[in-house]
Amino acid sequence: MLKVNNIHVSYGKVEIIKQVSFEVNQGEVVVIIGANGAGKTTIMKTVTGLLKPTQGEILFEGQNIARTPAEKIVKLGLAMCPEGRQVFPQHTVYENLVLGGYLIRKDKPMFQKNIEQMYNLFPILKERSKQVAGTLSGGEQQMLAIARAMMSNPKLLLLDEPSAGLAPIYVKNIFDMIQKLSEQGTTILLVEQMANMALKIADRAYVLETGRIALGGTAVEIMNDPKVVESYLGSKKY
Amino acid sequence: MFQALESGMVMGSIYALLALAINIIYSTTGIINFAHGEIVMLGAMFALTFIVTSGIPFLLGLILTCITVAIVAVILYYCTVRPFGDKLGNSLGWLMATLGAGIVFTNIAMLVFGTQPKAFPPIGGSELVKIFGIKLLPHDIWVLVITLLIALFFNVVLGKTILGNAIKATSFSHSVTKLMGISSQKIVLTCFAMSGIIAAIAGILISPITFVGPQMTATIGLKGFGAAIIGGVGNSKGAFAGGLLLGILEALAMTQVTPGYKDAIAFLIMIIAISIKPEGIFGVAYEKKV
Amino acid sequence: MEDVSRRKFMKLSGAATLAALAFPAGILAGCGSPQTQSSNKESDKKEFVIGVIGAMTGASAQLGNNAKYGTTIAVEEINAKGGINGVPIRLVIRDDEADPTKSLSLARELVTKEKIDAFIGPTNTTCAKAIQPYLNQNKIIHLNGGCTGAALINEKEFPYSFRTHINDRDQAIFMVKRAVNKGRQKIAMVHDTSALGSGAKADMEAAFKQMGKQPAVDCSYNVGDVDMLPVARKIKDAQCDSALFFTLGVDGAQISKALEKLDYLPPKIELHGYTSVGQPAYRDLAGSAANGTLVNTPTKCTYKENEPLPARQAALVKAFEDKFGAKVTNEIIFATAVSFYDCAYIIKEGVEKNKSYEADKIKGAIESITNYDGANSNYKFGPDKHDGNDPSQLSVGLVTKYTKGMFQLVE
Repeated sequence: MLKVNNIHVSYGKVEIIKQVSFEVNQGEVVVIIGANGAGKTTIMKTVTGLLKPTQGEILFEGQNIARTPAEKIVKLGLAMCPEGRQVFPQHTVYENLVLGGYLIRKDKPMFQKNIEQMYNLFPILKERSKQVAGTLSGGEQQMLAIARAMMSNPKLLLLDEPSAGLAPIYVKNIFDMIQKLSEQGTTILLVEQMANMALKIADRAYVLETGRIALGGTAVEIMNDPKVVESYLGSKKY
Repeated sequence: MFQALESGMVMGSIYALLALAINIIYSTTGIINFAHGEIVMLGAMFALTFIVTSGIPFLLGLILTCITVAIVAVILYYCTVRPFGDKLGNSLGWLMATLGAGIVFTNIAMLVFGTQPKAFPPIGGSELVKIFGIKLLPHDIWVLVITLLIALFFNVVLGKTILGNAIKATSFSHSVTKLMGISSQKIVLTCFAMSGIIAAIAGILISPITFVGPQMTATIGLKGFGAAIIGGVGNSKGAFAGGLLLGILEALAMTQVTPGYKDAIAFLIMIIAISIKPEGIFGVAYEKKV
Repeated sequence: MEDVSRRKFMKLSGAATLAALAFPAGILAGCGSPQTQSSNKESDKKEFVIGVIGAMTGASAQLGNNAKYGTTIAVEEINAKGGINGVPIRLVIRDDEADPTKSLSLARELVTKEKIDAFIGPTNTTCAKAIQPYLNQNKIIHLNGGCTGAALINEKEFPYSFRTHINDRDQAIFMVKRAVNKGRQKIAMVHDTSALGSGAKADMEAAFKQMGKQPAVDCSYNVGDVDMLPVARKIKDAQCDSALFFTLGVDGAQISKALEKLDYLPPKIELHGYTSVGQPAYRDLAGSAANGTLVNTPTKCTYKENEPLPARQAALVKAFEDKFGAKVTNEIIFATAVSFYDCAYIIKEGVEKNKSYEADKIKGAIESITNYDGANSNYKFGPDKHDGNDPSQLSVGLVTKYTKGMFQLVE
């Protein structure tokens, strides 16, 4: 479904991503794990079109989207829930969802159906639908951010560090949700620092180290790789 | 007293019109367009050229003026705001650039149209009509009605439509807005064009009152910013209320104190209003939770 | 008459700067022979240089055009008849954009590079304040044709500065005296809060005191105010039968329009404005509210109802039109333009009386002119009177009745 071939990405003169290749197949949950500053968010921004690679190609369902503007990529069926949640703080919960469904705004029944679906998935959002998003808790904002991304019926959902800054109870909750979405048929590309949790729900995984893919394989392989255990799972493993 | 109230409301409507256009740009880019007063002046100049000098019928002239000024506003965006990127909060370049553009507009107007103010016919003729013992020009009524309509229009567009949502979203973050499949660039351009259209209408409405000249909006422009701030920047209800309030208070202050100190009073009111309610009368103060 | 743009000095025209740069300094100077100093002998003199500075671009452009057009026509006439003392006049005209700083640097350039023998201008009181000390230090004969600030003429401080145009104080005195002598009972003083307006207020108050009368009400406003209803209200509430407008054209028009809303226009009240009210802006912008407004005007630049324009002034109008285009009288204030025209002739008189180019001799000669028949007025100078004009030369015209920039005489 998504195939990234040898991309290089730079911020100004500094090359952050060097010759990165990976792929995500239909129905999979793929996780990219890596330390802070390894370039995980940069990869996500590049796939969604917010950054442009200096080299390489990004194929989404066979179409090269490396030069496509971000707002057009969303139309192709690729949505992202950005790092730090980034819900629209002055909009109500409902308005956030409306914006998430901007692309299907003309299809009223579909729009209505999606809203209902999100409310079912995240009942708290229904409860708070008239509340301004800036006043939600971090976990609630994360749910809203995921729901917002799901509003456009994406084929591929990108999640950038959904667990960052959340209370442990919410982290568990969020990963359960992700698994649920996957079971409902959404392909998911996940970027995480919380390697252990992510690997548990993933089918395959990549390890990103200073802008390069250091390792790739099934989630089980990666989970059992001694280097990964040492660097990313370590004492946190439980 | 009522006469003063009426003229205060007319001036207030004009401040409100400016504030509304300032708001629409603020809503999407988070910046204040300091060249807005001059854009209104250009609107008046074009209207004078089309309607008075060339004799084009009023409505057609109005439409032509709106189109021309909308284009000017879009050009202004490309020249003074676009170069500073999407995250305008991080730079003050736009401040200097829009202020500078205002001066350039004034000077171009001086060169092209001359420096002497010119008369512009009021809408509905210059015969005074008497309503409830107050003498007023039909034009004054037009100013009030059109301003109210534009304010209502914006209230609906910004508050109740998906375009309004998208505009507000753009001001929060261009990139997140793009992730919703919305072209933030198009939204910003739409807003600049809309501000240009209102500026053109404001120009035509102000012209018979201030006369048409390169300096016609020098103080009015500043009070337009004031009205926007009093009302809470980015809020169309607030802009309308802020404008009217400023106009009426100014008119009342003038009848009680020497008119020579009117500007000082107007700005004093602004300072007090801003310090009591920094977010504006209708502004929403929200605290960010983590 | 001037200082249309006192609050606009800050906004300098970039394009105007370019225009000024387009006249590079000294390109006209130096015809091969060394420049002569004013102290040199008459026989060495190849040319007599008169420098002119005025605001020819920017908001006060009209004022600069008065200076430019008036002096150009005068110098052409003088040169056609053999120049000053047989020496041709060379006119060097510069644009200061109403900016005092620019005005001073241009004055320096005129004195040091162009070696001017005499100076005419500038066109804004603030600019005049900036350059007068410099000109007087360098003993340059200075004729002021259009800056009306009374304090500019001071025989001790500025011994080489003279003026042809009527000043603000004389106008204020004239207006107050006329109103009182006409038996007006309740007189309103209307003026802005600028230096010009507050100066006029002081002058009018002094004149009232002298006449043993009090003004009924004092109405001030800011230059450029749009809502003038409170001013009009004040005038009406005091039931004034006369209002003295020391206002710029645009502001005066706003006040008249506000009076119209209150239904308090002539003949209910007499509106009498100083010379700025004669600007086309006033009558164009006030529209029907301008009917009946009176304005100060030099008697010589008026015409009587159903009679032709005075011959001399009509000939000048023709000269202006031939040289600068048929619409020229719309671009200038005729009376001020001929005041500048007179400046050139006063210099000629001053030089030829003693047949000397020396500043002190010229100064003495001008001071001895006691009845010069100018195109704007008859001038009377003296060692203690460098203001050649006076209120006796003023009349009252009707703003809405005008031909080629001249007003129809009322009285």
